[in-house]
Amino acid sequence: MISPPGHIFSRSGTIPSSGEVTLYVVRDKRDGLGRPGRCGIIRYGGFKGGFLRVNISQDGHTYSSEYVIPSFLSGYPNFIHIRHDDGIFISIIRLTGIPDEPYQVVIMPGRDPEGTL
Amino acid sequence: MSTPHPTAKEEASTPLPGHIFVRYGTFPAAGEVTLKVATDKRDGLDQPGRAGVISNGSNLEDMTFQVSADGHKFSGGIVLSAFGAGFPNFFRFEFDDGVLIHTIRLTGVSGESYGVVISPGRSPEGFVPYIIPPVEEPGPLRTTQPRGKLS
Repeated sequence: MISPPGHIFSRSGTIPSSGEVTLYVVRDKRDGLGRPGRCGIIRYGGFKGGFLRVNISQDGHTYSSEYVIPSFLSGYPNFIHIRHDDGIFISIIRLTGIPDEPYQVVIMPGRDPEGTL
Repeated sequence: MSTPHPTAKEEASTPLPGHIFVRYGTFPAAGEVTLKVATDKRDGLDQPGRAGVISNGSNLEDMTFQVSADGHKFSGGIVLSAFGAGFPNFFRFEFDDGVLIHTIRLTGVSGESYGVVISPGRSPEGFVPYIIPPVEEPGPLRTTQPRGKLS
C-alpha cells in the first residue's frame, strides 16, 4: 500500500541483543514514507550510561559516519533534531547501542525543495 | 452599515479560515481517544492540519499517539513521557514537517489528562490562514461631561 502524502514514520523500542537496529524509512512495508524524509527526531532513552550510535543513509547504500547520542542525564542532549533546512535525506537509519536500552525515531517527509508538501 | 453576525448555529457548522482544533480532557476507561481533526462536526478543520502540539498532562504515566494523514492508515505509536520524567512531555508539529494530520489516536491510562491543539498550517500553495479579527458590536456613544463624568 502506498502511504498517503504527509504520512509519518515512527518507531520506538529497545535495542535487541544483537545491539543493532536498521530502520527503512522509505520502503518499510508498514509505514514507510515512500520517499526519503527530511525532518525528525532520533532519541536515546537509556539511563545506564553508554551511547546510541546513529548512521544515516540518504540513498540506501552509503552511510554517514556515526553520530553519537549520550544517555539521559549525562549533561548532553539525548536526541538529535533534524529539520528540512538541514538538507538531509533520510532513507535508512542504523542504530547501534546497548541491548535493552530504549530508542525512539520519528521521521517526517518535510517540505520538498520546491516549497510544497 | 455593519456586517450581520452569523448565528450560533452557522458558526458551529462553518469553520472559518484559520480555524483551530482544540481538545483536552482525560482518558476514558477504554484508555483510547480518537480525534477526527479534519471531519469533526463541532470544530473540524475541514482539511488535515499541518501544525500543532500534542501534550501529555499526566504526572505519572506515559501516553502514546498515532497520526493518520488520510483517516485510515495510522503511523506507529509515538510515546510522550509523563511530566517531570526529564523528557519533553509534548510533541510539536510544524507545517515544514510535511505531515498531514487528519486523525489522531491517543492511548493512555484512564483518568490521566491530555491536550491537543492542531492548526491548519501553511497550505501547499504557501497560503498561511489567518484568524479573522472579531468585529466589535457598535455601542452607545459616550460623551464626557464636566468633572470627567461619563454619561
